[in-house]
Amino acid sequence: MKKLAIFLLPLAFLFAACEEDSSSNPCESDYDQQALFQNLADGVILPAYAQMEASAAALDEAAQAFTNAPSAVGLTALREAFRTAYLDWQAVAQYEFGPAEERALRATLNNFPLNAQALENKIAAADYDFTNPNTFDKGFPALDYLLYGLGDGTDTAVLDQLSEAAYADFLSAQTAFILEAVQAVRSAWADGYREGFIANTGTAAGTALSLAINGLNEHYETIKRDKIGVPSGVVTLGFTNPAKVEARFSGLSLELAIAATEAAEQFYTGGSGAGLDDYLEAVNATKEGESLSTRILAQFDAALAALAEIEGPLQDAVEENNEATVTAYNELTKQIVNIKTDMPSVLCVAITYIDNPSDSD
Amino acid sequence: MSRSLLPNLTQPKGIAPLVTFRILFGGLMMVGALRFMSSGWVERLYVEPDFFFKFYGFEWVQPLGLWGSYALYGIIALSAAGIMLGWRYRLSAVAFFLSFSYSELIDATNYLNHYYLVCLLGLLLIVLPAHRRFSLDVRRRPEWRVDTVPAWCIYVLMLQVGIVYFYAGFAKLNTDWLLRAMPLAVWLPTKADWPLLGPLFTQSWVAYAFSWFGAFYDLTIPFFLRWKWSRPLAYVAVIVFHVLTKLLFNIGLFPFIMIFNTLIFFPAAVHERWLGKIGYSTDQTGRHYTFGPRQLSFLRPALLAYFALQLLLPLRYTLYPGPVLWTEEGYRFAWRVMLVEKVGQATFTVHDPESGRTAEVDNSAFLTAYQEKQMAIQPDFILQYAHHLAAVYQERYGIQRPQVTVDCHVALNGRSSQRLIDPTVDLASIEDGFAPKTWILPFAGTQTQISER
Repeated sequence: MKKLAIFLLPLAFLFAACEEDSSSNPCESDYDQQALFQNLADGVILPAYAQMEASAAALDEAAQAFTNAPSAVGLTALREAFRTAYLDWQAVAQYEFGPAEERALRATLNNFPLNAQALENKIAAADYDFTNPNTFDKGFPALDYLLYGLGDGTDTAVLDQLSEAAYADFLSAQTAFILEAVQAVRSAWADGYREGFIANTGTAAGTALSLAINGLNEHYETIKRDKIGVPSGVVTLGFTNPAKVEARFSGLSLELAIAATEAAEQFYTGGSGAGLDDYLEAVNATKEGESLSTRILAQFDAALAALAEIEGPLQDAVEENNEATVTAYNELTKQIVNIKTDMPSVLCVAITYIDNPSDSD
Repeated sequence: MSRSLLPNLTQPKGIAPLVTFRILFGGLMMVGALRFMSSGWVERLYVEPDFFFKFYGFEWVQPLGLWGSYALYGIIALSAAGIMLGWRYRLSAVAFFLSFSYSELIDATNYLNHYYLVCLLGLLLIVLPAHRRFSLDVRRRPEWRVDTVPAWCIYVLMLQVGIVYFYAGFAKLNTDWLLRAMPLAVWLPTKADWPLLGPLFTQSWVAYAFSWFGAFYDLTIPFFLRWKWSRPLAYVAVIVFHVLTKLLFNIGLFPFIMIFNTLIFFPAAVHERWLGKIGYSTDQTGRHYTFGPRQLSFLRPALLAYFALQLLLPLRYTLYPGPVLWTEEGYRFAWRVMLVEKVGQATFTVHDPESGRTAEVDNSAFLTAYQEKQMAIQPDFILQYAHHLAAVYQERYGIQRPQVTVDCHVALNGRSSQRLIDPTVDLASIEDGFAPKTWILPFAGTQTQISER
């Protein structure tokens, strides 16, 4: 027993030495996760898919109409429908879990930069299989090329070439695939995934919380790296890559990046309902003395403001005034530590025991 | 009891505990190596990475490629089988120690305390005469069979196992573990879907109970195992504790290693009874194993030095400023098991001082996801990786003297993140060493290991 006392003594010491602020279980919280997930599903994710499905349907309709009777008016309508659908896509691209992940929706619909030669080969071969997630010859980037980049890119050249049966048929096959893919994901959410998502509480890997945070982060990183970072040359010693922007031929790149960032913010705040920001406030998360939740909101604002400072199209901006793009990149980057490191840590989402290739100890 | 704390080291003791140890350890290691190969971990850990993190002083260890790695694991499995069967035992033990240690030295990313323990036990087994009974060697050379060995042959294993437990418990005497129930408060709720016990795991008091019990268990179990009156109950505690950790956490073979190792505390008679069921004969030969004077003149100082090192290494953290859970200076080889839920993010920038150009590094182009995760929280890995980046950028882009800085943020045990590394320091110009790393930024907050400044 004497020996026992010797070992318990240090514990008593620790208590005596400890400061009060450090003595509580930081993971204790009675925040209502189900209410959060319900709002994310019903208030944010499903409305975004509904809107995406409507605009994909409109895009497909415009494409079929153009294929049946090519015309300059038809092309203009098609381009408008393309822009709307591509912008709406930015809002759903971050929900790459569950049904969307199963279909590799993001990779099949928006792998960029486009490999135009591979696309031309695909068109020539009348290959209408759009399911390979590893190729860069399909999806919205392919439409961007078909509607704006054919020939020398002038309206007449595009109209002429797109009117050819091989191109027109490919176009309508592609838009039909986009519609079908989005419909499939949306109906999977409607047919049970939504209920499972809302009921999937907890902090383990694979819970709704972990899926939401991972989804948000994964897509946010592509905004930062692929949409802005790569073109501005931050990873290539300052040598810019204007040809690698997201929508090179239509020049929509910047608009798309802004839409994607706004969607990320929307996902974070939960719109008008419960969001991750409320969760952070419920656990009193702070960083360097200020509220983590407001810190993240402020950084979204800073990133959006910096993006707004860029004068598009992006491929010209990186050539003419890359400083503005690099500034936007830096503002986007500052957010990552907040949402990728801080948020999971203070919400006690377990990281250590997932995705280890072997054992832990 | 005080007499048993200072035992007669050379008195004859039945060899049976050593035999059990040899069989279970060898068998488990063989299974472990086969499991490693069949899970595809050889490819994932030794073939897929382009870059390998090194232990200080072992930079010369090279990866062996696909077939080389499989051959290495083949040697591990075969030599472990040799230990189990007592076949060419010394050769098997040497081969096991060397091959297993080599495989662990290839990539420090994969460091686990229980792999380190396996290396140490492999080393000790080389000098212990565990094959002198109930082995293929004895069948081949019946004159080798002995009844007894010097008591210290058993005590060294007890001491080694005791050190592991005691220091594992000692490491838990920190404020995060005891006062914030961290990281168990993060890990236990992930098992909330368990039947019956699941709902308990989300309760705060359960995390505290597990933390305090865990610390108490680790600190005291070697003593309870040593004392014969508490031994049976203590061994039940060993089984319950390790089975529970096996079910809760992804810790591989560690629970089995400890459940098997701790049998060494039981007297020979108990071992003989159980070994008898698989054909161990208790016939006496009257022979006692003795070490020659030349062997002893080497072993005595060697074992003293070995255990002095084992006792001191876990304490070296006291020589470094700041909490060891944050700086990780003196973290490894100290039985710090399951102490941190740590997540980090390290963004490196390579600067060309001549052109003034900079490039941000995409870590995924150089490291596997697991390597990146481990690198971002361990300063010595950050330094090694920075040197690697400098070399790559020098070679690929002809940058004469590349400078490498890092923007590294780490969140420890449920806190928001802090910067770990001074972002202004050119890591390419810093050499690793045993001196405190001045480029690690101090931890802001309360996290104290007992006896830490």
